[in-house]
Amino acid sequence: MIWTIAAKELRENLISLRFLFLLILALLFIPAAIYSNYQTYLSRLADQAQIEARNRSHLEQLTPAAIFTTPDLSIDVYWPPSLTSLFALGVTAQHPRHLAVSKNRIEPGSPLEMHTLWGLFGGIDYLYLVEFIFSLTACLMSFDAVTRERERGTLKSILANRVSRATFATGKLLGGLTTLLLPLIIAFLAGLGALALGGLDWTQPQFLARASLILVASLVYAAVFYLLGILVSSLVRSTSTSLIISLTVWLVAVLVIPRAATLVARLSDPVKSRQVVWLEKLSAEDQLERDKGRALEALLAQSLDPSDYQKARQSVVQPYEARLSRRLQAIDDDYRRQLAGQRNLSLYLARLSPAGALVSFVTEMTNSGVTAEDRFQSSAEQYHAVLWTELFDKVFRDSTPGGRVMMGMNGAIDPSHLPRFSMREPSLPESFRTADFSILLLWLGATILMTYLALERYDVR
Amino acid sequence: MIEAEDLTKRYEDGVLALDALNLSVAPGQIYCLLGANGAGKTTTINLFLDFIEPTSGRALVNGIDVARRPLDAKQHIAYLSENVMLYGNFTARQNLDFFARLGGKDQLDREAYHAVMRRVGLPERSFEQRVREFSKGMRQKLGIAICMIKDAPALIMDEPMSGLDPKAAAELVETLQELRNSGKAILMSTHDVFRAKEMADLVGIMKEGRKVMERTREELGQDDLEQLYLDYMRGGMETGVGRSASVD
Repeated sequence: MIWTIAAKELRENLISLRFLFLLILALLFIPAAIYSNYQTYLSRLADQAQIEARNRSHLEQLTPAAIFTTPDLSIDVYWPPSLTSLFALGVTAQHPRHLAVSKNRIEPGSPLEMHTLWGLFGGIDYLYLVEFIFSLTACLMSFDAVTRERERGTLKSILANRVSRATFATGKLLGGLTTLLLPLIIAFLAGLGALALGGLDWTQPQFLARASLILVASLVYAAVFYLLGILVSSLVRSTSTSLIISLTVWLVAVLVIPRAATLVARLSDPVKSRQVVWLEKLSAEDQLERDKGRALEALLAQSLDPSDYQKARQSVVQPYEARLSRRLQAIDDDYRRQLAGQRNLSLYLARLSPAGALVSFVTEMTNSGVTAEDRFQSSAEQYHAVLWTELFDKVFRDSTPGGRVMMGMNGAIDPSHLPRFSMREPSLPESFRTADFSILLLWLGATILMTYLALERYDVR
Repeated sequence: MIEAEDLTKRYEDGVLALDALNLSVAPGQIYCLLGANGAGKTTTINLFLDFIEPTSGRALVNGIDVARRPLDAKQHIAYLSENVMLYGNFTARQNLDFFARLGGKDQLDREAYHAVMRRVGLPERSFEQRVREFSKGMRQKLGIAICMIKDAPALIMDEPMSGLDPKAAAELVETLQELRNSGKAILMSTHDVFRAKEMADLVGIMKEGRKVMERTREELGQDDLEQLYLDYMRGGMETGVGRSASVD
């Protein structure tokens, strides 16, 4: 019985205009979005190579004289693009992927890409298509699944047979979900085909495993919205009411909750702006530089030869530099703590909706989520610590309020042996643990259960 | 085959839709339930199909209590609704095939479907035609074909002649008589007093949830059923004249 109903549902959907619309939409946009973001990935690889080449050339030309004449010496670090980010740009679409590491700070680098129209209208990636377009289409395919059967009398005709409501529900879900998920799977495979045409070997196990998990999450997500449509259809009497409620549910689940989560987090846990933090750090730096200068005034007045000055200054500047380092670290830590608190609250709230749960899962799996952002920041900090020891701490430029300046070196610098910036990509199990698939599964389980309960109690008259 | 024993339905809002109905339809009988809208005819049918649960009493099909063993009971029932809409994008044969499978007939070939459609009088050209292009009469015929292909001993029909033109209604009556003659027990609700008198072996008149009269074809004899019906509807024969309880 289940297969009879599922086959009927499948056949009915396959010859419907809605299915045709879904198929065309999926086949047009998903491969295009995947292919386009593969090109973005390639251009980001080129950006990374360019920055690394610039850093190398910069360091090779870094003579002591150049160091002294470059007071704001900085090394650029680039967020290494992840191949799986072609499914979701995530935070990399908005946040700086390029940081400038200088003696006392790590700041966003100058922009590398100009996507003005993306800023205005937003870009399209696979995640966007699934999150918005497919969830809406799923709702539109199922909002009348039960009411339509009731209105044309076929629900009674079916249930007048040896068919339980659970059997009816199962057949309906199997047939309907197959119709919905088939175009998504076909379009996804077409997207991988487009990648192969673009020269990518997508059969690499790591990539394939992540892509498969992303596809599974997308299918679960689309299924949740299909089920929500059936659920609404099982709770009301008329198709028009079901349409209105289904669209409202979609609006709240996809557009309202994730954005409201950010709003609530920002209101309940405000964070100062990056510019304010930058000014705080600048002010702390100026203050301590002035204090250090005053402390060095007497030493500089002695007109020591450079090597004696260098030895003597160590004990004077060390406490100031330690204080400055602590102060800057405290400002950074405070800012990051505030930011993390706000972000975590926003994430927890957003993941109450299936859309938030999907975005969180896919961006984690594609290394373009908040965990990857944290990893980039901490990798930059680790690199900064290395550069501090190997480069910045070996050069000094002291100035006093009276205008006296003394520059020198604490040790030999070998720029060609400075380490390159690197950022470790998390392993698949690590990403999967962070991504937390359970929320989407919970949504799936809850909607299935509620749909069965609603159909069990549905008044077929 | 189809029996109601003190079948009662009171809805959650307190309305008593059916009050201790007793009726019995034997194999080879057509039972017509007459009554105004809201008299309890459709409630009776819904109870036999387990679409609603009885407040008390029993609805039995082939001796099986519908409320207790709904799926077993429905194995013995074929149902025809008032407005047979079916799946408009499917052909007549595809609709028939779907409902035949639900009715447990999954080994039928195309010729078997065509044969049953011929039997109910559907034209050959309509067999592979989409049902959305069918007239109401053709859809009703297809509905009868669905009932026939299930080959259940009990047929329950809710206003099957509603909206049919006289020719289509006459053809339907003819088909129902054939089914009766083949030993099916048929319970149907209708507003059509003339057709009821023409084909029914038993006629029950319902009013406000109660069966206020029941007569066999023989008991009706030359009586004017329409007049009887109108009298009951006006309330003049609420008690005394009709056999207001059961014929049992």
